[in-house]
Amino acid sequence: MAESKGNVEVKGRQGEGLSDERLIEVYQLMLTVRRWAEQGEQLFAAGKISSFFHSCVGQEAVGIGVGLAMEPRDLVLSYHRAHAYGITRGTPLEQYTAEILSKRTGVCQGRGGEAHISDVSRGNFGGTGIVGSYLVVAPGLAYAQKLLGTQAVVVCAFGEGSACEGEFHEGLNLAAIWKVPVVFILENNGWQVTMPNSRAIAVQDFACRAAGYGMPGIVADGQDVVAVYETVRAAIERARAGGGPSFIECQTYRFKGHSRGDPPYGVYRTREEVEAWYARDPLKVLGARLSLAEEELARLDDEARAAADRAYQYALASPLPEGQEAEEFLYV
Amino acid sequence: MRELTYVEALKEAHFEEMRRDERVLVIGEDVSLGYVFGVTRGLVGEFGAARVIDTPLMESAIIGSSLGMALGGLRPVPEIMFIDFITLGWDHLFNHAAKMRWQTGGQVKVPLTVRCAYGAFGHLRAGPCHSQSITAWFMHTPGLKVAIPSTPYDAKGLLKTAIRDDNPVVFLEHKTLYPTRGPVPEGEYTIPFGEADVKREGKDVTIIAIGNMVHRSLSAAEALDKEGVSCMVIDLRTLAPLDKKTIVEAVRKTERAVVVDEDTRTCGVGAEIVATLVEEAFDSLNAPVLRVGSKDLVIGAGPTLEDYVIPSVQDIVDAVRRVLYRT
Repeated sequence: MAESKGNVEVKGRQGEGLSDERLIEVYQLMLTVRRWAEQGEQLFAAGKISSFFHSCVGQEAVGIGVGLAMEPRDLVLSYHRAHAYGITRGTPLEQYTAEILSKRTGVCQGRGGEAHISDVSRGNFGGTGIVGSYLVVAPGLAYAQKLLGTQAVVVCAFGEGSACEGEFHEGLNLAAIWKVPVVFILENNGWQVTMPNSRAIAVQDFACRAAGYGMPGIVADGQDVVAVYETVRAAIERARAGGGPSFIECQTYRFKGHSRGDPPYGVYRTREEVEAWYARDPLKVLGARLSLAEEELARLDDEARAAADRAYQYALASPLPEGQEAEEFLYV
Repeated sequence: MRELTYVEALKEAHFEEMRRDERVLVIGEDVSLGYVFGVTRGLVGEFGAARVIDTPLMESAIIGSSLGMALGGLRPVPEIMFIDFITLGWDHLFNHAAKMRWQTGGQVKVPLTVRCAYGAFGHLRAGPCHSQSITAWFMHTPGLKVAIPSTPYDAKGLLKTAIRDDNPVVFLEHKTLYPTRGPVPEGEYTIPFGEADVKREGKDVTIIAIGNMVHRSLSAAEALDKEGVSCMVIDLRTLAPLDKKTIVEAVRKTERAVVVDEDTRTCGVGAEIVATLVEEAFDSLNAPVLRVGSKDLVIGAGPTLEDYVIPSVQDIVDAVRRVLYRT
């Protein structure tokens, strides 16, 4: 898979262990995603982008940990906030960003926008515009891997909003009775737009439901990329070896509002709650493992901002598709 | 030529296509035993449970997981036991299967054939949620293809084409057609999509019909023949793609048309065909084009309520008389 100059190259990534040297690269990747997301928010606030932007700030460790735990042949079905997954899987930041801006140079030629950043050549089917729909697609995609003997594992990543949709029930049950290689990743960031978990579910966490379907359910610290990586890696290898599906709830937090125009706090969340989670910023958690010097951190930050800058400049300068391109690709 | 039932013809299509391509598989409720209508009975003996998949009740996941299988390189043929249940899986068909190729810019294809049993049963009055046709929803969805065979010959040929098509196809089988018999040649054949079939020649009026209503239209044509009215009956066979050329040419000749389908009439297939004929053959028309469809009501559980709603042979005869100004 070719990497763009704009991407951070984490050597030997995807499926291999996270050594200390690699962790610096992981930090750089996470910082790039962070600066990229922040710049996206600024551009949206300035009215430069027409469609949605669901910031992943605060949740980067989940997507990066999962993305690195997957092998190149593995497949991921994700959701509208899952930008860290797609970037980790290697889609060049330029083309990824261009898709969010609905430009012709985007991964889906500007057709899908933010919710549907599909890069199938890299095993990434992107998100879905209908929250929860992939929960029932994942067992079928995994069934195909089993029948065709590809040895690939399907990761299905979603937020807790999806976990309240009916598809969650059908999908987990189906994956379990078929015993197919799916790893369900629930990114529990505490909020389904304005609804907090305390009002959305009657139990303490979502992982307890996994046993009800006949698969292991694990809670992981979603702010610690190493913890996410190790937990997901074990589940992926278990699935690959024929052990069937499993369910991992990564507890994290949505630092920003749901989408553009929704403030981080003041409407339905308190400032105290949001600021308490800042102490668990995934960059801080990973940084504590590395003890990087100030100059090194500043250098990495400059590079991250530059990479994000290049991506947005590329996207802003790219053309929109011509209207009549809508006639293509409806049928094979 | 030998005769097969509609069920036998569909079953033969399954055997042939599953032998031809090992990526083709069947999935649905009770498919290995072939409940309720028997089409898939016998497949599991040859192809095994991995390719003839019985599922729990999960229409959403039947369509959704079939989409996943198709994205993964298989060619699934899910069965929806009664078309009314497809509402549970509607999101996966309408928002995803129909759109994914388009919205990914061609990165994926979705070779999916969703078989559905539809329509009022007749002898078994199945009530509000087991008797509907729902046809228009599928024709209305960009990205789907729709086939609706009325004879065993058409059923086998169209199903084989559907399974080989790399696009999502909805395949509609009227329940009352399952036991009907008709000639089916030995040997390999397929019927392309987008080709209507003239089931009866005629010169006074064109009756355009689909599914079970083709047979009611033929019965109406027989009755009208005794009055000296000569009806052409055209079976559309596929709604998407639609064979506009055949129906426009027919209407240019007969100058009058009636469209018959079993779905509720408002915004139905009939309405679409009428609009198409008005757009493309207006100058040839000597009368308004009439549509005969089910009344915009719920189909009741008993015979009198069902018969009130579903178009009868008499309804078709009356419509033909009206376009001939004979009432």
